[in-house]
Amino acid sequence: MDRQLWRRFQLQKEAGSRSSKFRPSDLPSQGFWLDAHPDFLSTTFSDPDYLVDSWTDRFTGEVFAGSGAARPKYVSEGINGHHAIQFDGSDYLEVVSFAGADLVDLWTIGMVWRLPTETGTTQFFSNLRIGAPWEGYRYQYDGTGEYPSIRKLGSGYASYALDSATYDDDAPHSSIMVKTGTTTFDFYVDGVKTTSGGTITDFNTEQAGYTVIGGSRSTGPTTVGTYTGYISDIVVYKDAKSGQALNDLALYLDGRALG
Amino acid sequence: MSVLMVVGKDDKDTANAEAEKICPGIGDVFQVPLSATGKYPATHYWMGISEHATAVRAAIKKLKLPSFRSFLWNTNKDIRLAQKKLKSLNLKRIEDG
Repeated sequence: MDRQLWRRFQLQKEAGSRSSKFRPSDLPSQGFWLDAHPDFLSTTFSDPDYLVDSWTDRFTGEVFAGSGAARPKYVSEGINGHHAIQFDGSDYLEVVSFAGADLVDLWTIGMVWRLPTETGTTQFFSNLRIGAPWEGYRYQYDGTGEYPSIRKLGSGYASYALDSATYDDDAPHSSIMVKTGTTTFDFYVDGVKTTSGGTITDFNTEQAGYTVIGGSRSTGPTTVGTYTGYISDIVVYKDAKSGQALNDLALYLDGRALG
Repeated sequence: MSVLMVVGKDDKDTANAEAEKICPGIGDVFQVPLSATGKYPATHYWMGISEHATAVRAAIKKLKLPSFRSFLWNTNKDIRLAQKKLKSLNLKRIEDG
């Protein structure tokens, strides 16, 4: 076990039993929660794979369908021996809308993921305008800078990213992005706050409510898969978490990454 | 076992229609745009599929479309195979944002 992973295990241990009882559903202002546990997925067995026909939002119970040939796979040991959804770069899941889906105000997004080495630029998920003009945001792994980032589309492209570090190391990671103000963000990776950089001006995009997990939409608009890797959780809140709530969420997600 | 499939833009609709015959409801199999430069216009489209993958592949092969390429793909062993194969075909995913 490398030093970084050992430290993360120690942080989990120090957190004690209180955090182990925490669930993301304990926090208010819920958007959606994708959980790759099979209790929340409906699959079709296509030897030897399990294709994700639909998934159930753990916050609301709402069911969202997969999409034909673009369905990703359920993998029982995809992230550190635990459940995950595998996206091959052409797969995606769509959320046509959820309450507060436009994410124009403050928000918090947490994710647990694993990327193969040298994966390039790949979108965890996107939140885009339903109709014209084509604009919105991509929450992605930036293959050039090698970090999770947010990318604004439409009226010019701008990114807001972590400091330079490599996370496409085929290891499990957790990350949290918090929109704390109109153009300000906090980033956390593996439970630790990380220096951020870059700017996005005019972050608010009305009606950017069409969410694509593991993909994005082109100007067509055509929905396409863009993510190559594994995801076990995406959890979205419609406010900026801080303090104990953020700490609990960070420990919970990193615990999922560590298995 | 999955199959990675690539087809040229002129053969895309024919190939998609054939896939739909074999696997009704599968939707467009060839939908991710590609080009040599990574910019529009798209010259090819690709997709990795698992359901009825070998049957769909065999049916499209029978059409003898000149631009059709396919590769067996164990995604659990090498999830990056698509990236590598597309590179070997001198094709890049088009990213328009």
